[in-house]
Amino acid sequence: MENRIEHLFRYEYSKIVAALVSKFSAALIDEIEDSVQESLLKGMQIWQYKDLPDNPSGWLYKTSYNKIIDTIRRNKRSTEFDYDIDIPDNQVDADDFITSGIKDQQLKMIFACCHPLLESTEQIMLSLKLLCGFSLKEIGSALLKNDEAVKKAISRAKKKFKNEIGYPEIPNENELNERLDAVLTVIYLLFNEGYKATDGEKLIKKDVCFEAIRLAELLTDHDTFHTAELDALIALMYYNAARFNARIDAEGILATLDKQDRTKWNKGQIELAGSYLQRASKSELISRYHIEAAIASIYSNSKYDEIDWGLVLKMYDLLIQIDSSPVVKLNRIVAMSKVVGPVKADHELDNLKEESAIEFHYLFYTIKADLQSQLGQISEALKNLQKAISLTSNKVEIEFLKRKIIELHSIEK
Amino acid sequence: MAKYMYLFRGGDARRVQESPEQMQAHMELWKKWMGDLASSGKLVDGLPLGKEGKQLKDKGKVVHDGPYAEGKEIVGGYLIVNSESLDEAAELAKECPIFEHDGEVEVREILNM
Repeated sequence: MENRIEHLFRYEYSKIVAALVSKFSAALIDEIEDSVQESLLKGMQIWQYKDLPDNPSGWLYKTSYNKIIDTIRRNKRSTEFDYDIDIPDNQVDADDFITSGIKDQQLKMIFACCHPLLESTEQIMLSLKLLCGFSLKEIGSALLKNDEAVKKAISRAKKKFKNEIGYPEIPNENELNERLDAVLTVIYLLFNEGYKATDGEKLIKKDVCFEAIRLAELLTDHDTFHTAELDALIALMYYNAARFNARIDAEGILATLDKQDRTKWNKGQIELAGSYLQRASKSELISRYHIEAAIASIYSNSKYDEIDWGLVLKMYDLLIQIDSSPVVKLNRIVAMSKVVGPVKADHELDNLKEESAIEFHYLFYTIKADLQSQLGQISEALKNLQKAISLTSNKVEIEFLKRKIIELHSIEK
Repeated sequence: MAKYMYLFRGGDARRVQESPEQMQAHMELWKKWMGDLASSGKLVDGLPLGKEGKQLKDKGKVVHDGPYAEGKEIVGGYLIVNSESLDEAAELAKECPIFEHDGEVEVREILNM
């Protein structure tokens, strides 16, 4: 199959849903989704036998449009259907789709799915459903949630979507910054969800990451949204995506930065990340995305034993002022241990334990064990690795920790 | 060389639950399978059938809407292939992607005068 139609169905799904919501209102989202799903099904059945038409997008749009009109017409006779929607007289033509402002409609849909009335998990799920065309099952495996939980969350989110969104719009100037922040946060969380190392379903997780990048790049088409923060976020995502294939080693075990096979890094994506970061750096403003991208760029552009840990630590000191969450603090301690040595870092780790509930995090015990093993306290380190294992259910992480235990045992002997 | 017809039944129940990405992946399997048949000179013709239809009975006096069979029994499409024998035609059909969706293939010889 030619490249131009790679992901054709997925992308058309989101484009056509966005176009029809713009035309007929968010209140009809269920009916619209059904229509698009049906026309994709029809397209699939025909194109199994025949070559794709010249304009498959237009064909799918026309077919979906006609189906939704049929549905509205049928439902208008029912008393339960109380939407006041005019049925346009004119039929659409396949070529109408190209000219009908798809990009704007998609951007509006992004803002609608990331609407502040929706909770964070709802924003993520709706984005995956409506902007990325994922099925409930795919969303479940991407977010490691069971089908029932996904179904419930989606239907709750859709209820709000139907009642509150109406016709999606680009936010006005007063709220634009805030709304754009929310969109970037959703994209950032989406990417992180996809990037979490898990066993099985690796493909779908990778897809989530690249969908997050795609949505972010859609925003760059519009000058108003093309902020330095957005550039920094895209840089961050590309830096991490570039290392995707190296994160799991040949035996299927998580490989930390020092152990990754660098020939598996995607050089093109690292370069792309670099150019986004360069553009992002022209602004005076420094966001968390800037800092995280800068850290990722240090990792990506120097050999492991040439990493400037002092600089990394400085970046973490900055990041902590924006986000003082335990995970950031823990990562800062790792950088710190490279600069000032394990004793001081271990002391800092104990301080951190005093001030927050961080000890429940598996990462805490992993780092603790690492520092202890550097200090020759092997038996304590082994105990903490066991504790870390008891605090995660992620199989990839468990395997990773088990391997560390084996390594430590061999040092002990 | 005789011609054989494949009648495809079922698979719809699974198809409607697929995501767009999965649908496309499934479509590409079909394209590959049919492409292979075509390049080996086996493929003659084939098309999908619409879901709706009419059934005429009693000398055409009774007309019903639609094939009333259950979903898994409805013929969703057909294909005509060249083959040396019924067995060979059946062997070729084993690779049909419809089995991914729990559908069925019926293989019949097309009789020639």
